[in-house]
Amino acid sequence: MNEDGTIEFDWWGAGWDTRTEGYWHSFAPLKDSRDLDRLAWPNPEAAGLLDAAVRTISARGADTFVVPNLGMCLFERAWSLRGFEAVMMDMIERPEWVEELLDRIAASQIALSKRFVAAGVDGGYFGDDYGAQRSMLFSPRLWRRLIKPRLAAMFAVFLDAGLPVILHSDGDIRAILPDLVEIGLTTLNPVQPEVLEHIWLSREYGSKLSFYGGISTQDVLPTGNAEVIRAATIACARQLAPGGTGLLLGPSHRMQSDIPPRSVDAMLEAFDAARTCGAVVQGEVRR
Amino acid sequence: MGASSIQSVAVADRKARVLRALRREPVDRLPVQTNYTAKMGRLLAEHFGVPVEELPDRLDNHLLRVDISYPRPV
Repeated sequence: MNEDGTIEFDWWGAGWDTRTEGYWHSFAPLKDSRDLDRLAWPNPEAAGLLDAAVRTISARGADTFVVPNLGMCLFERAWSLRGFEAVMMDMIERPEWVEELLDRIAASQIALSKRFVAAGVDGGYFGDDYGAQRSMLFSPRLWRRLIKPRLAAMFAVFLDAGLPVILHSDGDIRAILPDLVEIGLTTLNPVQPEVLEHIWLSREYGSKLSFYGGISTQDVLPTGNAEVIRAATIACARQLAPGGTGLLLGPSHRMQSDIPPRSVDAMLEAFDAARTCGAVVQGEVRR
Repeated sequence: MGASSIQSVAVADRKARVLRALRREPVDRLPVQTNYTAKMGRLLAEHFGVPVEELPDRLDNHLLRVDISYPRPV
């Protein structure tokens, strides 16, 4: 935390504005220097890093699906260290430097992932936004060069241990879905209905991926009445889980305070119908 | 759809239900997960009349993310 408490620094040294409800980036330690050796890189092998996680796994892991929070895992970690505009320019002007930056980030994530697997997590959870509302943030060609091989290595830690991998990636990432399937992704989150049409997604990828999320936090939950929310929740389950499985149902993102609690009541009531609205009938599943 | 396409599904605990759903295997019912910001968590806890730490169970959350713990840099 800085002196006036307005910036909180994360493990990597990036700063975040504490006065907002979401994530607002406010300090990039590599903003004025591309000397990677001058950055105080955190040590993923440090003692005690997983102490709290191990206690939680011990207390809750018997009946709850526990995953490590490896959010902002690669591209987002790069821009949080360098600055968003700067790293976007770097990707064009000096991709070799970006590759070195990403290699160092990936090495830390892989080391952390191995420790989490050894601690007994049930799967991997990575977050890295590659999409905007109507397109990728950068070209699929650049993604395949810079991100794909490193993300694959990070996924492999969990996949090689026989564990599923969840990736949270906002926005329209249709262009790279075949690549994500290729590198072993198990589950895609948040499947925002505004940008990834659910019927299309289920038809094209329902036999290759499972889904997590799906109920709009951009529109339905903040603005819809109970009837709209119920219809959207049931539609989400029917469209993303037409066979009664393959979906961890919920809001597409963390709910923020623009969502009235009565709308959460409506969603929870709709869950009761939605959770068995696929092909599940009295303890049996029609396949 | 013939009788041969019907499979029995055991009632699962939350952990098994998530694993089966992620692997697209039959489940007794879909697992659910509702995440929220700290501010929204406080509002929901007040709304439901439960402590914030009991919200995940109140929402029937099935998944729990764990973080690294470290001294916060200054």
